[in-house]
Amino acid sequence: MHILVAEDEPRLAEQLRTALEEAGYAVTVAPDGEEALYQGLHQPFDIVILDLGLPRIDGLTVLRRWRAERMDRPILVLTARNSWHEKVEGIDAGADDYLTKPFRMEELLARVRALLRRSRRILGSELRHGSILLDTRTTRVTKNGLAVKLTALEYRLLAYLMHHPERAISRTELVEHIYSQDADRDSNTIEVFVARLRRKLGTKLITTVRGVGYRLGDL
Amino acid sequence: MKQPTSLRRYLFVGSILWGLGLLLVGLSVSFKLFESHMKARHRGSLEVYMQQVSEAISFKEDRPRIAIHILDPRFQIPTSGLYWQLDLHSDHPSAVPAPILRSASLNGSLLIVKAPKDSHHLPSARLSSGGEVHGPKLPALRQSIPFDDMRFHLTVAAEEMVLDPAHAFEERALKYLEPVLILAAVLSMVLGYLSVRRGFQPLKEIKDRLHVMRMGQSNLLTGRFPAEVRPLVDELNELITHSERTVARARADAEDLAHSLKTPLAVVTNEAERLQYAGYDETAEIIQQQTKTLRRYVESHLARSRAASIGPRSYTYCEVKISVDRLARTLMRLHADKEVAFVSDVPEELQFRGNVADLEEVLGNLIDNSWRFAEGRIELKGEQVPCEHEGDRERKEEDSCIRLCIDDDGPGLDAAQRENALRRGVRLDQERSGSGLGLTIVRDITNLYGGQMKLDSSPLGGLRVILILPGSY
Repeated sequence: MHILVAEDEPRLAEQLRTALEEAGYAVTVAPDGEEALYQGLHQPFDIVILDLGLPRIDGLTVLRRWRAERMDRPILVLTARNSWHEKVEGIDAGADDYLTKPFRMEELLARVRALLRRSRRILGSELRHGSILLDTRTTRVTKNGLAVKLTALEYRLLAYLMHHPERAISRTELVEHIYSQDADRDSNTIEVFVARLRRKLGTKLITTVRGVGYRLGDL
Repeated sequence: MKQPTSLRRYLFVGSILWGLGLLLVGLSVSFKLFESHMKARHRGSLEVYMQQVSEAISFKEDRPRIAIHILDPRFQIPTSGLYWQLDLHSDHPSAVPAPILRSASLNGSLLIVKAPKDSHHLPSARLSSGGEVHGPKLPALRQSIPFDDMRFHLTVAAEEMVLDPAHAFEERALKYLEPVLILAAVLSMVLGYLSVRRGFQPLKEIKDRLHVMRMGQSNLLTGRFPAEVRPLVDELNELITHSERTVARARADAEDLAHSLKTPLAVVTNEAERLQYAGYDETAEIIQQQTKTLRRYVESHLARSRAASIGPRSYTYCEVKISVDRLARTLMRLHADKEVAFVSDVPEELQFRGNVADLEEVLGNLIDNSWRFAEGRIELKGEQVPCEHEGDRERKEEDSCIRLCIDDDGPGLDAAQRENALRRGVRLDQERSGSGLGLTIVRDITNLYGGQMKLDSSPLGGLRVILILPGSY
């Protein structure tokens, strides 16, 4: 799952990146409204965390322009302004949720998970595929009830596949959703992660769809 | 303290007194002038007749004689109104005159002459026959004529009609003068009243424009005003603009300061959380407590800056239904995981007299609370009601209020909990998210607008919140 964090305060942006990466998400940070607008329109993020007090273009304008351009990703608005009038403005502009500063990181992560679940119409924080269980809240993966240790990128790849069990996913799409923007991207590494996941969780877990990419196999 | 008098009444009473004064002075001056004019004319005419008669009198053989042919013929016509009489002087002041010669017009009567009060007045004479005085008082002139050792008095008297043939006409004119002057005085009062009214029209216009401003249809006093009032209107507009700008700037500055503190607070809070995970529980707790205190300061600062811009006599209006619908959309999105039927019954014309942000703050907090606790249904009803001001009759007649009632089917509160709920910062359910400031913010804003907030049990089974807020005029 790839998250765009639009936040101009470098320290807070870093805290968000760390916390979100620890929770198993790939994170790209946009330090101003212009960058956020561009990234949001040109990268297929799974969710966006948007601070409304951004320099260059304010967050509310960015939000309106994204929605006008039919950008349909879930957006969590992060703002210092907590009046209901401003919440209404934000939601009317197209936000899906609203979190006011200062906030507890746990609450932010819970809201991100809730938004992702809502966008995929999934109930609860657990994703199950056969005997494999992935808990998005704790980032724990178990097989037949036994914990399986995965690296961050292995976890992200598995989580993305489990969030989209109904379709085959290309290598490019997987790269876009598991790597952050500033990471070294190499689509060949996807094959390495798939091989490792097959080794750790069973060869039938991921099926290769020739000419397309990968999908979850029938267990 | 004595109430200041109405300027309009003051000027109107002034114009009445002025009119009455003018009338009295006009009438008395006119009568005086007319009277002295009449006297002068009488004296002049009598002097002419006196001259005529004295020239006609001559003394021959110690006896006075009269040359009748050179006299005015009316001296010869009985009771013509023009008389003369020549008496021998008597030292006795009340002696009946003993005429030596008299005009034929006296027809046998005597002229009894009475000396004037002072030299400004003419003597007056009356006819007397057989010892009986009769007829009106006649203006007269008397002249002494010495002859040898004797002294004679020549008296000339005439009726006013003879002395001044136009007298009747003048008297009639004088009779007309009175109603004409009264009419002029009444007219001057009416004109005075009209000009006072016209003069005060711009002030009434200002009052009307202020009413339009209260209705939210205009931000400033607009319209054409006379040169004398224009500076006042300009000053008022300047004052309104300045005060609005100052309040808005103060509110924005306070909010900016408060909001700019929140980002570093977020950073510190998150660092504390990380410290806690790393096992530095004590340090983390101290930081968390301090950030909590800072957050409370920020929130109370924001509440105070909001309070500074709220007044019970606000100039702005907003439609309640629009805000309720916007809030319903927002809350449905924010509580997407919880299915609640939100039913609102708010007439489109229902207006709140105040800032839309304040209305949404009040309703947002209340509906959000209901949403958290409701089992599946929230009802909101809005209606216009008469205000319950104490004592202030003018406001009572002018204002109307709105009553908003929010019901939910949640667990509700018992009487003690309801009383507790309104105390600052108290949270009844510690397990659910929220700062606990919601209800106190609602209560504070409601109080600042001079409204009321009541908690009750709802027919739906949960809590009922009733708000009374200022509505349209």
